[in-house]
Amino acid sequence: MKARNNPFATWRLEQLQYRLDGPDWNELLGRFDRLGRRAALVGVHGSGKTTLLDEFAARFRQQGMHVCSFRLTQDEPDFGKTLDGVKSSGLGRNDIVLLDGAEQLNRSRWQKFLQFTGSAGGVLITMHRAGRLPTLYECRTNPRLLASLMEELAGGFEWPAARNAAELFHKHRGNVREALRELYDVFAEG
Amino acid sequence: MHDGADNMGATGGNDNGPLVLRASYSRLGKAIGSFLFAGFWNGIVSIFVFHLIRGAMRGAFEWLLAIFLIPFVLIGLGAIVFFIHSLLGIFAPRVVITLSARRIRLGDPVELNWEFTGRVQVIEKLNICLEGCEEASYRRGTSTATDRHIFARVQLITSSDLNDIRSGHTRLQLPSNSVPTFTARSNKIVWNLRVNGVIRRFPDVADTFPINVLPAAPMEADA
Amino acid sequence: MNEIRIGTKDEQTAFRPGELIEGAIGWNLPEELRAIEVRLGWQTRGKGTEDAETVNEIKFDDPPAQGARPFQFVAPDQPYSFSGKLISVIWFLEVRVRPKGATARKDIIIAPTRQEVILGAPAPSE
Repeated sequence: MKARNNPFATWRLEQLQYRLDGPDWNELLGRFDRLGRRAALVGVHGSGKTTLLDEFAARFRQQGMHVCSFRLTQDEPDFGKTLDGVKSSGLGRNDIVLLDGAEQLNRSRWQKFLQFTGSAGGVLITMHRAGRLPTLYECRTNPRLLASLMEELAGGFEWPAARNAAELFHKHRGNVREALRELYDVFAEG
Repeated sequence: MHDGADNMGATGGNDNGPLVLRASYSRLGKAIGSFLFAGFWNGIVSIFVFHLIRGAMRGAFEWLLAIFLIPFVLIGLGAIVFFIHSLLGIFAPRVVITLSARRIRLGDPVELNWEFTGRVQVIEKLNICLEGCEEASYRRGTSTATDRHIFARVQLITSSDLNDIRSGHTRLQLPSNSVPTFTARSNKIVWNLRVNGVIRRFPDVADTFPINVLPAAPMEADA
Repeated sequence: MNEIRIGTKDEQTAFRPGELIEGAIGWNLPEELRAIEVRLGWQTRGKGTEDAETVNEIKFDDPPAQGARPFQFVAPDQPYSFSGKLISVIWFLEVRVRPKGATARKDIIIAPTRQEVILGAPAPSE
């Protein structure tokens, strides 16, 4: 199968909407306000934290807020030059800071980050475990979710081999993103 | 990526003159690096091992410490083996590849010459091939993963004859129905010349030379 | 009716490197427009994070609400349109309207044989 036709290509995974389990968006945004607009999205690897954070960004923009987004990874665990531009102009009540991968910051850098964002209108981070900020939402996965995503992405395709969502889910220990990537390879070989 | 970019590890004269390829990494550097790591790691681990042995000789064997040290000792032993392997690799024969043209285009024939220096007689079998590889990088949690897939492999020479192994030449022709070198941030097409020399009871010669492949020469316009 | 169209001469959608890509754009939009851009670019699709590049662009400033304009690009010599197991490169023509950002797009092929190169496919017989 050609890479561009693969139903599990990265661009298709990135278009998946996060499926809230429990509260709806109004409730979540209300909860964020009640938490003083300083909160965290918590969840294991591949549970959709980044996807959910991106959807929060879109909603904050719809509200007329200015969103400053940062993504920290093992390869780039610090802000580097990206923070300088924001520092020079300062943060105000209309700014919301989104930080994906807050666990990459050690304690002293985290304290600096808190100081830097003190004047911002809101801060929302992602973490693998609860702790640094109150938990706004915990991203959870289950085999049913994986099966539903598989259907959404490749329901109309002829599957090269039978795939059991529960088996795949447990093989990847709940990491839905890795389970979907394995399915890329299944279709690529087929 | 620009037309006519130099090939890595390459030296050469004029724009379309011969291209000389040498392995870009240093075997000596690799051996020194592995020595430093093995020395540092085993130096620290040995302090605890020494303490453990001294305790055992006094009749007070610390089981918990012993179990805790197992993985560290295993890593240390692995580091020593890697260092020895790297050290032996310094004495392995070296190859220099010369291509007849600096600008290598899809579909165009290129003469390839190789020459080994050093203890060539220890090489039992030589294999030189050209590989085209897709490389796709993506986010995996908080790190980046890169998948690779070899889509083309052109066998250039396989020989067990010492005269052929010592030096020789062959013709290399990149498939005309393929793609040139492509470099983007997360997606790449790379072409490599791979030289593998099998040496019994010794690290093999395993060198990779990336080459920059340009698009095919423009075709004649349709009538 | 809001409409943006992009078409190529003789409906040609496959080109050799160096060939002329000729076409025209047409639009019928209710609002005032600041500019209309026609772009030639490529993007990757597949297992890797998407890469994209705009290789050439023509801009029409202060266009009327309805109109048409011709465009012309020279097909670059690389990258080729290709598909492998992990990566596809797709060339496209795109019209973008400012300030609203509405778009229209047409995928094209740029390759020596005017056909997408399939990586790993056997070589054609002589």
